[in-house]
Amino acid sequence: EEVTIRAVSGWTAGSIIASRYEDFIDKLNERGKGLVQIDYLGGAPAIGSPVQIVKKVKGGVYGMAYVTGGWYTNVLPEADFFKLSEVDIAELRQNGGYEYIQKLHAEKGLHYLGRTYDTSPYYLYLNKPVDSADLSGIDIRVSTAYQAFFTELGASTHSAPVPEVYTLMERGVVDGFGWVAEGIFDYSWDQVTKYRVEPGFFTGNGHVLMNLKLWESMSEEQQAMLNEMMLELEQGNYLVAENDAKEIARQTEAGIETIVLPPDQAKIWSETARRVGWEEARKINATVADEIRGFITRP
Amino acid sequence: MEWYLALLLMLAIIAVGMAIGLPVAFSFIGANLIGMVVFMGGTGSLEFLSGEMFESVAKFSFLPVVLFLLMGEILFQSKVAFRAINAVDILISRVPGRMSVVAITGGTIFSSLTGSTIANTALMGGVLLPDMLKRGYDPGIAMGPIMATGGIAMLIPPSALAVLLGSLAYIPISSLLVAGLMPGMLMAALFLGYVLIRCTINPELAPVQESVETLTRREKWRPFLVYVLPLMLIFVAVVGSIFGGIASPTEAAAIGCVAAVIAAAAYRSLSFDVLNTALSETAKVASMILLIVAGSTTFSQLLSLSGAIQGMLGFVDGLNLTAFGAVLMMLCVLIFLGAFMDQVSMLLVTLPFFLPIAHAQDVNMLWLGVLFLVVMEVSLLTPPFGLLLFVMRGVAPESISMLAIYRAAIPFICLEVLVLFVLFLFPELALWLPSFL
Amino acid sequence: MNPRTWRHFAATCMSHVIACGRTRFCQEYREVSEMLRHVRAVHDSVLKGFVLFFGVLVGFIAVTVSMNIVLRLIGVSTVEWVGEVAEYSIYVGAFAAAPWVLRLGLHVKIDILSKTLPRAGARALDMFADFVGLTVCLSIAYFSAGAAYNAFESNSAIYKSLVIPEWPLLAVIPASFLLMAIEFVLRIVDSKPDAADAAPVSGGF
Ligand code: NA
Ligand code: NA
Repeated sequence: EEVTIRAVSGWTAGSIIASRYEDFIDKLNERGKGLVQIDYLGGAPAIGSPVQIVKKVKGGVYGMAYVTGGWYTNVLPEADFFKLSEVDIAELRQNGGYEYIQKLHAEKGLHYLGRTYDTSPYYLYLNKPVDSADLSGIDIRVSTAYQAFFTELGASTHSAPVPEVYTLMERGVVDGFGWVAEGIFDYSWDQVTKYRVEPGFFTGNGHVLMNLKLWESMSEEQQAMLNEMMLELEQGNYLVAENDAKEIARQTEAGIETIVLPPDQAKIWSETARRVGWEEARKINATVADEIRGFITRP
Repeated sequence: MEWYLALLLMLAIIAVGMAIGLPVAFSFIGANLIGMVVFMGGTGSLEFLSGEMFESVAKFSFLPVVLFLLMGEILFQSKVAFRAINAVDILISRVPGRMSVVAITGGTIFSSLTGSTIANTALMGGVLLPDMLKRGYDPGIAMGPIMATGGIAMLIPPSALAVLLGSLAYIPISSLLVAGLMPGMLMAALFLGYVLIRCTINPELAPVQESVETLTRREKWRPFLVYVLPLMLIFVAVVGSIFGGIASPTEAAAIGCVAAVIAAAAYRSLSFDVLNTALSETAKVASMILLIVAGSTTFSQLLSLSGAIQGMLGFVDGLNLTAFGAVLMMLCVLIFLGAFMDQVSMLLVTLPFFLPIAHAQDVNMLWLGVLFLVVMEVSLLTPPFGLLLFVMRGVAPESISMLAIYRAAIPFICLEVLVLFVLFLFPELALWLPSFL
Repeated sequence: MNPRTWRHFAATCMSHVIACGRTRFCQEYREVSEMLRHVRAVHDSVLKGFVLFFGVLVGFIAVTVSMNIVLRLIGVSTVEWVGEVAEYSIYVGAFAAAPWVLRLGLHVKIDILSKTLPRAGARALDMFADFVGLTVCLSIAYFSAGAAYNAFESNSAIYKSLVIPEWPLLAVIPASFLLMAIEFVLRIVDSKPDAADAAPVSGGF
């Protein structure tokens, strides 16, 4: 018989990031008639805090959710490690990483359907130029995801809510902030930003999770249908990189210059991100960090 | 469930809760309990209410709200503000309606030091009202300016309410703070003009007294230079640090607190008791506000989850309103609600509807924010439920009836609505100053 | 025994019983109200302590945020946890102070209806509102206690620059609402006007 899944998104309904998931839901509802239907309730923050969503999935209030790893560390602390990924989901499904991740989720009453957005790094945006990986004397607005990284590079960090970033940049209270390629124009930050630093660091990551009991209660046919649809969604991941490239071109057009660090500095930059990221990860759970590292990074 | 039924259910619950006199925060939370069961996923979802309340309150954005409250409270409890008002009182002489003029100028000065309308009114009412009545001032011309000027405190920075609005509506806080300055000054000027004209036409409203005239110029200016001018440094520290790019609004609010403590100490008015009272009073008011925030945040999330908001947006979209029409509609709703509700509640009840409409209509959010602030100021005075009316009831002698207090407020309500109208037609009045930020 | 004497005897007995009962009742009533007063006194001093606790937290926020500005201006790296601790503080503080704010009647409410009703009607309405308030508080206390317990069981934590277990934070809400439930009970059994009517000293907002 038909199963109806109550689904939510951690990103604002209708936003660029949520739209791929929303298309996925539309297609599912079309093809899944009589088998699987999705009741899409909307996205955070309108429907609640993004960091509370996965708790509700675990508790069975919602059946399915689309979230980034950093939002459900209160259920699965190791979810934060996904930002350190260097391989895409296709490879994870080959090398056994997918099963390992699935096991971690199952222990918390979750089913890991799949992952999108694995090729979209964070960047440092600045209003004064830098020419090396030494950021001492620079003030950066940070989120928890990358505070340790910038501190390690010598920057002083500043926590502030996202709506304040515009004023902070404009008034020069901070010299920069970390963000992904998308969203700069949504907050009008293009008006107060002069530079974007290459290379990027870490990676954005989006995951589709389900309540484990609900998953297990579904027929094989229904499960197969969802898996098939998820694989289709994952195959579109290369579109994200394309989209990022377009977004960066738009930034350049708007006057945001790209600073490309010289190779030796870029190496320090990337290696520091990697080293600090895994150091932090090992503090959370050393065993899992060491094990998962084998799957999600390249040696 | 159809969107309008969901909407009706949720609104009916809070309406009943408020009508029976249940505190607003509890009305929201009660509605949330029922709404979660109906829209989120049965009784199993009730477990997640506390998590949402935690997330809605533990926000960096609310720090300046709390800190601005503390700053005003320190100046209020240490009596530093009290002496400043007296100094203004001594300085101003020989104008028609002298003490009403003192109330307006003194109140506007204190407005630049506190974010609190209630403190402003209570202070002025306590310091000036008994004197005014003793000297035979008409109660209307005595109480009206005190109440009206009290409201300016939330328009002229610092303002806790502006920060709250800004952080809930994602309007840049510093811009919103600065945007309130000109409308606030305009309002003060209008109040001043009104009092001068009325008292010139009818001098009996405010009998002239002679005693002050014997002071020398030196004696008149000294208290002003000692007790008022240095306080302006606090305003400069707060607003200047935002303008100068030294501090974020949160940090500016913290600077304000430190400056207030320094000022109180410099005037030898700082004691353990003063600090204790200021901290406790800040805690009470902040707790009251944040509890409503906790209740109403989840409330609007449930409205969204139930599809009520999307349904209503579709409905409003079908009305084919212009942006002006939409804003006008919002202002009318707010003025109506303002007769019955306090500022924080009316803001939090309506924002979930107004924000999406405003975004859909591409309304300038900064302008809208200032309009909202002015409407809230009007609602402080509109009967039957106007916070400043109640504060005035608290400080006025028994012999003055509530009706007399209502009557005193009416001309000033009209002036405030006039400012609202001017601001509606000439957005530059609000947008000009922030354009320098 | 003629009916008249009998009636007299019965009346005497009755009045005796009533008088006796009344004194006993009075005594018990006195004991109960004495006990209530005691409960109130303890309750009140605890709640007042929480208010001051929140006040001190706000003061602490003001000091640490200012300290970070100074550190930044002199070029020393700022203290990372200031913002996080401030966030937790206003949350914990707001709910810790809420019961006393309720006790004072400072949680804004709209009492137009109860002010227009006759005395008895207003009293009944207040009583009804108190019952609704009690129900709300007990429900929140019950379900939120469950949430805190689950967080404790599953060892969940919040990972920011500080790693903080989630359960003590989530336990604040049931504790606060339990205290407020007690306040509603006290109001119902021992009707007392809002203390706030006596003296508002606050600057408000
Ligand atoms: Na002010
Ligand atoms: Na009103």
